[in-house]
Amino acid sequence: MSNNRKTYAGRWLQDGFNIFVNELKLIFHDSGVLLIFGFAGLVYPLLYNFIYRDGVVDEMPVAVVDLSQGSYSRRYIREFDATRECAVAYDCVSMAEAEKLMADQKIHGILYFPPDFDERLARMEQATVSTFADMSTFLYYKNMTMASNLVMLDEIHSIQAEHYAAAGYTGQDAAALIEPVGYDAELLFNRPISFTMFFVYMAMMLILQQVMFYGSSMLAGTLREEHRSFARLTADLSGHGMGRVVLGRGAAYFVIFLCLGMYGTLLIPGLFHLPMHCSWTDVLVLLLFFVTDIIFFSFTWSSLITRRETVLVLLLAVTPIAALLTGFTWPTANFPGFWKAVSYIFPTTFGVRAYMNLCNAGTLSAIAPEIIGMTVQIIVYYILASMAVYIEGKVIERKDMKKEAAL
Amino acid sequence: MKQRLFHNLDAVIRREVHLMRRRPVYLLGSVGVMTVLTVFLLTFFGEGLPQNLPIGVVDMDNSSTSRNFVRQLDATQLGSVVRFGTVTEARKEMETGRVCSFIVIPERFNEEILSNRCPKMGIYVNTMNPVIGGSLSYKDVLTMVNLTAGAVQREVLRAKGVNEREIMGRIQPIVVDAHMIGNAPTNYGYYLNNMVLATILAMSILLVVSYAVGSELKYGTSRHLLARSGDSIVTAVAGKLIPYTILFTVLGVSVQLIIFGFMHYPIRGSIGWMILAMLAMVLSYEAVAVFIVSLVPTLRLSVCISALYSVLGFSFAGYTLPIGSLPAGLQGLSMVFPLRYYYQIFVREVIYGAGFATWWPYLVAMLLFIFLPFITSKRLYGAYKYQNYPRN
Repeated sequence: MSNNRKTYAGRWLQDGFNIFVNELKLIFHDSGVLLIFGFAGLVYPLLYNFIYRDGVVDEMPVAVVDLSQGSYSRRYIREFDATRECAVAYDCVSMAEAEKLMADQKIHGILYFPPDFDERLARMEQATVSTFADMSTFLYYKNMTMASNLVMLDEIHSIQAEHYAAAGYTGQDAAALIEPVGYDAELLFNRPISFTMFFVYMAMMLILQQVMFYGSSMLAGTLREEHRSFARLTADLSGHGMGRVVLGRGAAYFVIFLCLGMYGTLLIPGLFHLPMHCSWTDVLVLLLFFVTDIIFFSFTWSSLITRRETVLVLLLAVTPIAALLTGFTWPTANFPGFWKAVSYIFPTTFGVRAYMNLCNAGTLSAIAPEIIGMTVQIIVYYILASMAVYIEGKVIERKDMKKEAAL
Repeated sequence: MKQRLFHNLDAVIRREVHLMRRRPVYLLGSVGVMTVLTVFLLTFFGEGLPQNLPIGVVDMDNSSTSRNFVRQLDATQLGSVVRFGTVTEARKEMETGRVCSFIVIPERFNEEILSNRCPKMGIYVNTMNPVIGGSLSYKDVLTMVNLTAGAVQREVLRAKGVNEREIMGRIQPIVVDAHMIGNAPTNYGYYLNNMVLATILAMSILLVVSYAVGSELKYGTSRHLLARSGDSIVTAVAGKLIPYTILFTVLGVSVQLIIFGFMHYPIRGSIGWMILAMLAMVLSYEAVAVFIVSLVPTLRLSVCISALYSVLGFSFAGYTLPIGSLPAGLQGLSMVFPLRYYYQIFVREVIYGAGFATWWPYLVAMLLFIFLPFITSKRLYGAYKYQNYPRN
């Protein structure tokens, strides 16, 4: 009866600690949860960094159909071949031949010069070159567009220089005519426009959220199946006190996910040299908020789970939804209104943006709005998770009373 | 003998249909999941191509030329101008992804154009967050800058008395006429939705089937099942799978009909061949699910393994990043994903309409997966009969 002599705070701490230890025991005695935490939490970050390490297609094979066979078209082809994006792999005599190669996926683009290409240029008229891009993935399209536009601009400038030289303009006069307005383009953070680097940032945060959710839901389902409950843990606890239950259990996950989080957002990206313009302490601050957020988020939603395996069967497909709703590819400003509202359910909506912005801008002040968003989520989900525990406790109490009455 | 086989098969099918009706997880995990995801994807990429992307402008010149440029940029379909007073302010907004890119028009921009001193604009693009916004707005800004350069050139050439027809040949001697095969409007939905929905279907098949086969073990009903099937594991599994094959094929074909019929997504080949490919994909993924349960006859582990494997389908089908761009050591791994073969058929049939002759090897590859469960059928039979694996 030593418990009775303790102060309220003392008992609170002891209960909380017991719940914390109990939850850790549950986690480490469950092979399914360990598989999810271990494989998805540790192997996936490594795998995704490895898969998407480059994220660019270099020297994409392209076929050329040159019906003009003049010096201009040959120079164009040479320059096209010299781009990083594309390489001329086949020289075809007809479009039919090139189309067949494309359908066989041997090439992913076609460059077509009509018979009058050189003639028109020699006459100082506008000549057309046609490009055909394989749209089976956007990377092929991007490569084809970038290469053909860069070469086109370069060729235009060379041809104009020749024309103006013939007309008697040289040096500064010609330069001013050719490029009256110039530009300096700075492609920040992702110079080769890699289509995957941004994916890795998103994946690292999403993995944390989904692993936490599926893992804790499986545990909640197990307890329910065994006619226990996440709301009432062991016989030696009084079973009351929402705060103790939610915070005690939360602390167990907090320890695990802070470790997984540092592994996934700091260690692995560091090993793979993902661009990071911030200090590790800033990422740690972000993780404190994000991990807390995903824990209460998972507690809230997992309270609806009644059987352990069904959560994966029913809700694994939520992963791509949550991924797209982070706005990592499709701009947030272009979300349909309904889906924008849905996106506020997920911690990753703020977490992914915050992580990306932090890595790009490098200051905590840049992610203040996202931190505020997560704080609001933490408060709402904490209240909801506590309510779930409270309601669950009441339901169990009533059931017990019924049982007693029946006896 | 034959009659008994059909009798047993029929008994197993009836038993399975009864189970499907009693436990909602089967229908929710298949019909429910596919309905939600189809509605989500088809509405989410509704625009097809993002419009009115926020593009920042820092106009330090404020001349008629620069104001005209900003107005023109704002009027493009892709861009929508957001004005900033200073570069610092614009940069901060761009770094946090609130504008996709920004341009800086320097002081005395107009004056320098007029005096032939070739002023330079600064273009700053966030190509990371979000990448589509960054690269599209970059394209938009570049087009406008080149058009402005062209307009200035035209003024000069006009003043020098060059006639209009020759002017175009001088300003832009070469025009690129770009054709996007299979996706002329560069619609993001056309590109992603077909394959993402196929991936989700594969995920749903793996999870529901491994749950259906594995739950016999968890709830200890596997001996009852074997009794119904006349102690034959092949009849038991085949009978269990027939209702799911019908269910998932109907789901897959419905998605195809919605996409190509109702939504009018472009398809060059025949939808009949795509339905055949869909059937092959359903069968191969069912086989993989049974194979996983046979290897690990514990419900919780087999469902977890199915989940982990199915998520990788997004990467290894090859529609996000071409398989050729993966690290060499990982490229071969794509062979164990039936989705990879479905995608190969999809590209050849839907985008190029190249016909059966070009893609039949991929169909055969998918059908080869059907042999997987036979390799481990003894193991599953043992697990069903003796129930000697931990239930949880």
